[in-house]
Amino acid sequence: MSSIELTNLTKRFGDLVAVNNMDLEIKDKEFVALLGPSGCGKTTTMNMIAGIELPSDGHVSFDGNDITNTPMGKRGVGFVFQNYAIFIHMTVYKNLAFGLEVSGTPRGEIDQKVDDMAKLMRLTRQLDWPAERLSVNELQRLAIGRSAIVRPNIFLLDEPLSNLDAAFRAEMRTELKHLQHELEQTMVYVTHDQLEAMSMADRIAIMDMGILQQYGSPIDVYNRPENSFVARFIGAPSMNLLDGRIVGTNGSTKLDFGDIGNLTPDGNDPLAQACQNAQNSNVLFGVRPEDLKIQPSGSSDQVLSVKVTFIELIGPRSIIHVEGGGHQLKVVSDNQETIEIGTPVGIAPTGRTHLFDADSGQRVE
Amino acid sequence: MMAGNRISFEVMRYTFIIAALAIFLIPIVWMTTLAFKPVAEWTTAISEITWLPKNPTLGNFEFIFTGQTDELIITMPNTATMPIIASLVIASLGTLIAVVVGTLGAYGVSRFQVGNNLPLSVLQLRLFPPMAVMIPVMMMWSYLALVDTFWGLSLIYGIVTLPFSFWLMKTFFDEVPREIEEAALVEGCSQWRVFYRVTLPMVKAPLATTVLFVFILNWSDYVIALLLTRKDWVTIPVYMNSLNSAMTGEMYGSKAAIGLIAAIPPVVLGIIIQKHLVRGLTFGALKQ
Amino acid sequence: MASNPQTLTLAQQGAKLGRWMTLPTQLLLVFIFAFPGLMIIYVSLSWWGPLEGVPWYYAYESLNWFENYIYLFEDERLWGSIWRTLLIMLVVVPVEFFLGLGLAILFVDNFTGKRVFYSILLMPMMIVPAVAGYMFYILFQSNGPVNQLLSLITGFEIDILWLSETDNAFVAIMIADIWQWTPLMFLILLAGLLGVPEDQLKAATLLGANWGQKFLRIALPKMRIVMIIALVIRAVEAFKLFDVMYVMTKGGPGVATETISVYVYKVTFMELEWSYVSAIGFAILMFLTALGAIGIIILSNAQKKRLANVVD
Repeated sequence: MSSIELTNLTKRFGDLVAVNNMDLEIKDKEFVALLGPSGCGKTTTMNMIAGIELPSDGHVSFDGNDITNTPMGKRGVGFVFQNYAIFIHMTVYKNLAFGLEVSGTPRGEIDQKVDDMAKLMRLTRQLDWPAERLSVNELQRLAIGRSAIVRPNIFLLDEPLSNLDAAFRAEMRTELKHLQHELEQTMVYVTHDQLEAMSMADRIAIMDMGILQQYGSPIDVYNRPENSFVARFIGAPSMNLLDGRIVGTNGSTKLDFGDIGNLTPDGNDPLAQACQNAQNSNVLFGVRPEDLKIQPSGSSDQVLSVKVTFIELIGPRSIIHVEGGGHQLKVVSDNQETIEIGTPVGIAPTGRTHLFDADSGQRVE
Repeated sequence: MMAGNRISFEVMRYTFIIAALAIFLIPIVWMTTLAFKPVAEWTTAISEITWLPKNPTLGNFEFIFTGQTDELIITMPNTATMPIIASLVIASLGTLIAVVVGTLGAYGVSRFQVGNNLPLSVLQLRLFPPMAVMIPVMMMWSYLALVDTFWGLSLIYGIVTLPFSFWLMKTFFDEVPREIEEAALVEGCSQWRVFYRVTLPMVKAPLATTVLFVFILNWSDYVIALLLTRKDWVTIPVYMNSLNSAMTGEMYGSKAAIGLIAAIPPVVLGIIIQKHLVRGLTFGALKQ
Repeated sequence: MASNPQTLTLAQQGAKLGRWMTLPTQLLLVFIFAFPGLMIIYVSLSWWGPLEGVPWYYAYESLNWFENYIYLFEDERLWGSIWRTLLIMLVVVPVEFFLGLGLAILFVDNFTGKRVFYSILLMPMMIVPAVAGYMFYILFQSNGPVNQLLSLITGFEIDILWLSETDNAFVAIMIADIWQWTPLMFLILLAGLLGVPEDQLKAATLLGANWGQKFLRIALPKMRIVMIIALVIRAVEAFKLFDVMYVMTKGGPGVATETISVYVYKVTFMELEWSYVSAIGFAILMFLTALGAIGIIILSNAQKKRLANVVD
């Protein structure tokens, strides 16, 4: 019922550009996560969608109607605040009924809708409690229910899970996704937690320094990061990015990493084509720790020689930290063989690799 | 539509605020200009009233400080010098008493769960009108030979403003995290040293605020000084209201001059501690 | 707890230090409550006065038990002054409250000049009250600027006798009090308004609430404590009203504008009936203590009820 379109959206606070010339299109009933480190402009973007802040430049449209100058509260937007902003001086009932009461809905209709919403949010038993008595998860459901009861077409959530402890967060992720289906609304979700974004969103908009870095499905941003920022930001442990240089000429290019050796891509590997296209330039070679394998030390054109510096045990797998020639990398190992700190080993990519321009950080293909 | 609302709200806002400012400033401006008006302009027919002095003069100040001026035929034996000194000395000493006693007491109550009824008893001091207890206080003060002495008045000022210093410092101490003190205790500091060397330095700024606030209150007193001073240690407000002359009647300009002198310090200090005024006035209950 | 009975535990050490630290406060309280308290009761039960020629502790010679207290109920001048004090309180406190609230609302968000305006608005309450009284004394002279301004506005020659006619004097005193203490209400209520969580106001806006609904349903309920504090503080101070009134009218014309404080002052110094004044003083103390106790009971009950609600 409602799509969102941001065109050239810009917000300046004095000299600071919080959001820079952002274009984004969110489809009806889509669940989009705005993801980025703190200060990246994601909350400002959402505030502009809600009308809490007005853009310095650019437009916000819902369903093709420009609502840039529509005051907040007249946009039909539901908003769940990070701290929930529950009216703690009222009962749960009064909180749920607030949006209906201020618009002058008849009492009977209010009662009906509040009952329905309370059922959906599993708050029926708590209806007459003062809101300050609720637990954090109840508060969160109340915050969502209070916004949902006025049937907004668009639902905005500002880091709603950041106040919860880890175990409960997992539960709420499922619940939120479920609720979105039930409410059938367009949802925009701000978070700095990639796990939340990856597990819930249909599409993820990754932002940094006020600029939209990449917009795509979770699989997309994971498998095909468009620049080195996204590459580093998505995935845990994060992707290894090695400074290197492409040497050689047509047909026989290879990646030179200095002291630790070099890699010659297989002809069928997309990397070969990428190296071809970036001949004689400095690059960042990206490979996820999961896509690296420890091999016996030795010099081959497929293996980099490094030394093990540290081993982090995380359950069934370990993260092996290796170092060589000023490069530091991580390798995820499945604990098949025992490795000791200080031993020289070889590492070789076994899966997907990425190439980024060293200066612009843009993906090279 | 929205922009229109916004503008009309701004117009309304400035209209109201400027009207309020005008009303709030009229009395201050009138007394200030009166202080610089010569005798002839003190009282005139309504039609001749001017807001600014026609012939500005410092004669009023000259008169209150030297006891005479060319404009007046009378002379005055009591100049304003002594009352100003008295106000300064007594308000300062009273502040010292209130703040020292209040700070110690507040720390004791805030940290050691002693004196459970103390905070409320202290607050009661502020509830009672001074007039209701003035008879016994006057009798006590004269019995102890404290009437019309600076220490006598300082003592009662210290007591009367104790609720403010006590409660303010208590809320400040309550806000200092105990972990810091506990860390010092674990290292073997005595409790008193912890208070003196660790906590007190941490509340330096609030303490300064409390001092200024209590000073303003003491400086502003009229009724207690009226009852407990006679002539040697009368404070500025008492002095000001005694400035009448049998020959010329009300000494309008001279009173305005001394009034101006009395008014300036609290206003200046008040602006300095503006951010903390709410806290002071509500005994620490509210913050801004 | 202490393993070694010779050394004090930290808590015991603390309690000891705490007692020492609170001692000066305790002593001052005893000094100002105990002796004057006993004295006021003792003297109030006699006819003793400073003209008796004997020190106060001989008051038992003229012991009359409760005559002073009985007279208290018949003293029309006293009840008049109480009624006037209450009347002033009932007028000025609400007026100051609403004016202060109105101004505070204008100062919630930012606008050009806010800081300067704010500082100036606070000035009246920092003026020494006796000086403020004098300011209004000269403003309200019959040939003073108030009449001049009124003449200018109305076009008629206005010469109201502000301070020497009963009703006018009342109005003048109330105006002076409102002038001086509206800033205090403004200051406290503004702090209250600024303390209303911004997120909740935004949430209400996003749910479609207009300005009035936000004010009535969110801001006011959240400011309840602040408003109570402001009203209580002002009511207590208005009850004590002396400086401004004494400087402006000395309770006159006649006794027409006497408040309790002014009345007590006059009986003390002009009629020198100190035993009767003691009786009045003691009655006031008892009345206020009872009032305070009731207030505290109500507060702690409300607290308990809230806690019970939360635990349930």
